[in-house]
Amino acid sequence: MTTNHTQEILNAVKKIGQKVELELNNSIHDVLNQPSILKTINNQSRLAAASISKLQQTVETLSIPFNFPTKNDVASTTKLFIQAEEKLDLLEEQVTHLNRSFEELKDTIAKSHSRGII
Amino acid sequence: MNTPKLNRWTGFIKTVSSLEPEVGMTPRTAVWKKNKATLWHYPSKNKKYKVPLFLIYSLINQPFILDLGPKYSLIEALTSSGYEVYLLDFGIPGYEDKDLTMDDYILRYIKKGVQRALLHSNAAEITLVGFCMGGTFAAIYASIAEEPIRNVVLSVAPIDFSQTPVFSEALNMLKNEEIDLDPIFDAWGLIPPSFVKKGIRIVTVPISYSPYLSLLSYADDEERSLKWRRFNYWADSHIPLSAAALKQMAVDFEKENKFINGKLVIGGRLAKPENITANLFAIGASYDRLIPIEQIVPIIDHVSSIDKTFHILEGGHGSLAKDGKAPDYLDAWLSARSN
Repeated sequence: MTTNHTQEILNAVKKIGQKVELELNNSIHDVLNQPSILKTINNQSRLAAASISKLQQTVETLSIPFNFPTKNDVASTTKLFIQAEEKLDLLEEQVTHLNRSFEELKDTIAKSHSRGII
Repeated sequence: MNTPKLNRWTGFIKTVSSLEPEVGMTPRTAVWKKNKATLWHYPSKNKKYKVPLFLIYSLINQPFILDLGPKYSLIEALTSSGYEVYLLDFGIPGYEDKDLTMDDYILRYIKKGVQRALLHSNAAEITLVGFCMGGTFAAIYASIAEEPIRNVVLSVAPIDFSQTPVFSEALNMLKNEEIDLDPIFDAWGLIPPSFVKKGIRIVTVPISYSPYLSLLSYADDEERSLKWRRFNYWADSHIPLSAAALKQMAVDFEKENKFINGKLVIGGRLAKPENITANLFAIGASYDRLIPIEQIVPIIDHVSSIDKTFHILEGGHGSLAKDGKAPDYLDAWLSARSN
């Protein structure tokens, strides 16, 4: 009896909670979806982008006299590995296709032999 | 406090404070790897169908939602039903992947992955099954594919971006170029997972506590609590996103709605839904706050497929397998078109 009662209370709390959550989220969406707010976000993101870019340029410049690799250096090296991997991939595909063609050719010759054509 | 109440509260505390749960337990082997991507093969113990399934998941989350755990794994359910399953896992991108575009994902990963799956399975045809943005990519790829695509299944995949569930004003300003987020995307290069998560949350549910209320109502049930833990772990497991792909999607989808309008160009080829002739099964979820049905259903009128079906699923964005069985609507549609 008590368990059922608790379950009923929890179900009611869940239902009310979901309704309140939906209303809160709709309100947040409405507030954020205003041109003035969106313009402020846009302007702030531009300022943040300018600061990040300046910081990145500074780190790139400092990496030369201080002789340390940056994230861009690591990315460039990794891209070379990926290029090599793609070339190997292509070779592997060609070898697989060649193997299949070879097997098919062997089958055809074997069949021809058994029929006495060759 | 009596025992059932105590069990509920201890179960709740145990569930929310426990470590990462085990996920992705269906046996699999890697058949191809490139960069961070892996093509996984899930063999079927009782293979009944000739046409294998090729699963494509989104770029912003990890695909283990498709293999959440025993009894709640779509992949496990599909292999048990007799399908050979291949999953293309794009992996977790690093800073070196910041320039990967939608073209790269479709031509260098999906197309190559399909070729590899066909080679590995020795199958004459294949079924594409795309989820969320992976479904959008599957549809785009199907429209330019030279590979033999028998069926295309699009699960909660946005196709028509003319209607957005929220932020209509933001979309208008983006279209009128009053908002330009390119500088911040370029500065980041790779959008961090926390930002991806916040972005998705702002669009869907900025405040989200109802999953905890749901958990509280069944926290004394160990199995349901474990499922909640696994699902919650997935919901929090966002991955970084390449800024180049995000910028391209913002312009090609949100701003110009190019795919449904037949103006999208991928790898120099015009990708339009009218090019799709494969059997099509599109699925929308009735309570999906991220991808509403209005964004999915228009594909039905645009494809050239003769066999095309739209199905509305009762549930949310992440509704998949349960009780170890593939959903009946999916199994019924696939089984009739996989031999």
